[in-house]
Amino acid sequence: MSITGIEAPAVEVRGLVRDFAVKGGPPRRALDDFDLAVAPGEVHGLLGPNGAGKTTLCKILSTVLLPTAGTARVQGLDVVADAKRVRPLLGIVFGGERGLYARMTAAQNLRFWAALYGHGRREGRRRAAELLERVGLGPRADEAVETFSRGMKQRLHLARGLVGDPRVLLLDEPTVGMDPVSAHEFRDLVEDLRAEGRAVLLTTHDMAEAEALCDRVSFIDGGRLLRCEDPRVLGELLSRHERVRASGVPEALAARLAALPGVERVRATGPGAVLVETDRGGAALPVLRTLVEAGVTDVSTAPPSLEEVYLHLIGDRGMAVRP
Amino acid sequence: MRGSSPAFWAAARFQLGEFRRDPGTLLMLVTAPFFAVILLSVTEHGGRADLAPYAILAPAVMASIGMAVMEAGETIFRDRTAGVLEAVLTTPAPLATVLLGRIAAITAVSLAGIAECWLVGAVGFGVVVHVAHPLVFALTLAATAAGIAATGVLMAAVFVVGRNVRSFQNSLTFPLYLLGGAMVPVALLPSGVEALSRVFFLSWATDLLRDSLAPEPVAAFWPRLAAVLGLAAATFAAGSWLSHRLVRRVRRNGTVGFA
Repeated sequence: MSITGIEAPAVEVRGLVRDFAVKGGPPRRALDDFDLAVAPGEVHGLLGPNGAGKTTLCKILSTVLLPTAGTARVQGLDVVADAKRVRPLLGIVFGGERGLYARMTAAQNLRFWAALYGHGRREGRRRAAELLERVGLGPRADEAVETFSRGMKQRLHLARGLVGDPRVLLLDEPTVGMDPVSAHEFRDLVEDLRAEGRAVLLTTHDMAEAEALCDRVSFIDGGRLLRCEDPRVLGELLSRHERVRASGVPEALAARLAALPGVERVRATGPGAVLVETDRGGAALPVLRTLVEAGVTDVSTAPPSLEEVYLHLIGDRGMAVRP
Repeated sequence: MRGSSPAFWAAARFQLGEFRRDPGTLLMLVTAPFFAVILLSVTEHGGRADLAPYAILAPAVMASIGMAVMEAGETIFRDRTAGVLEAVLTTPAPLATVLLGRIAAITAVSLAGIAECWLVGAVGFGVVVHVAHPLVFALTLAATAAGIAATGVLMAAVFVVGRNVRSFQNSLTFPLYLLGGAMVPVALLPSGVEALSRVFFLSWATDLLRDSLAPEPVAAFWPRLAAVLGLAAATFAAGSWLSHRLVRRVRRNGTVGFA
């Protein structure tokens, strides 16, 4: 809370720049004049391809990396000048399998991390047991982490991120390696965190996850913020890219569809099946009319998925790593 | 500082668990009795039974400081490789406190080397070394343990920036044995080396430990103990300062997670 009584943003990033030295070459810019604001209680998605700068941002916010320029604040506290006061407010879940003691049990790991957040032995035990139950690892609490599957390790990572009772949670690709059931449970957990008033910054490649969980989504590429929107608003912005799916479409009809105004392209998705992509609002209507008039009845329309939005925003480079 | 005390004890408990999970970390306690055998053989065959306390104390002190330095490096190396160092740095607990907890546990366990070497003397050679001044011995031993733990923190701080710490820590142990008077009392070293050794707490500590075993009264015990404690505190302060500085450096360079 600020001195004016107005609650500070959970995360506020302004003009953030981070350069990395490259041997024998110019520095590589991982973040370039990056701005971001996450409100308290907001679940904010950060989407971008590999090397876009997502993890660099998480590392700066979690105080393990210093910015080259610009400012980053967590609940009004500067992550550089007030790093010691920022750390108790933050929980971070790094992606992958790193960050846990493999030969310790899940409970021992959590008790250790609880102590690093200042919790005494009794409180650490209580929190560890509670969090292990919460992430579904209660029955495996006393087993060594090295025996866990990747998905179980991810769940333990989540528990570790929560052990300090943070107001702001940074989740860097948290569902990598999780099975669909666990991923669904994870979404429920994030909903609970939102209900508890915690802010969550979630980096992910999973569009469905972002669409389902996030209040707003920021698209990042080359260290720059491309767009920050409500995922549905962003979908509306690109409604001109509405798609029509149809099957039983002969080649000649497909060619006629491609020639219609506003049709961007017609892709064959199987024998006689096509996906018609439009690039103009209302362009789907003549496509539907043409199909129905030709006797095609297996037809459906759909708005662009978040993934398509994402691909439209970052261009044809898709998931390629920026040089 | 929030979190310091639970972090210290949790780190110490964690390290004790590491000894159970990986007994290889206790290797120096395996080798210390062999060193004791070598040194006692030399003193016995040389007709210098009066040097037996030296022969017993030397390998024990070497094991203790050696374990602290070696494990300090391993702690950073392993945590970095496992991506844990990065996670530790995101917590409110100061890195120096976590390191101190772990290295204090290592040092406490390493003191078992004294009992091992004493037993080698008693059982293997029939040489029973008596502690003539038990209070002096106990207080000095406690101060020595604190100094060894502080040295481990200082070394670990250096290893935060190093990428190839193993060769460094291997090379470092012998100068520390020498400057600490573990093998040879520093008074017997060339004057320049002796002067240098006097800024290292261990040189005062080993002299006091040896004196506590001899029947003669221990001269200027309290000032000498104060020197051990003062230099140990200075070493820990240097380790804390250095770990703070070097962590800031790796945060700036972006090399926290590099193994």
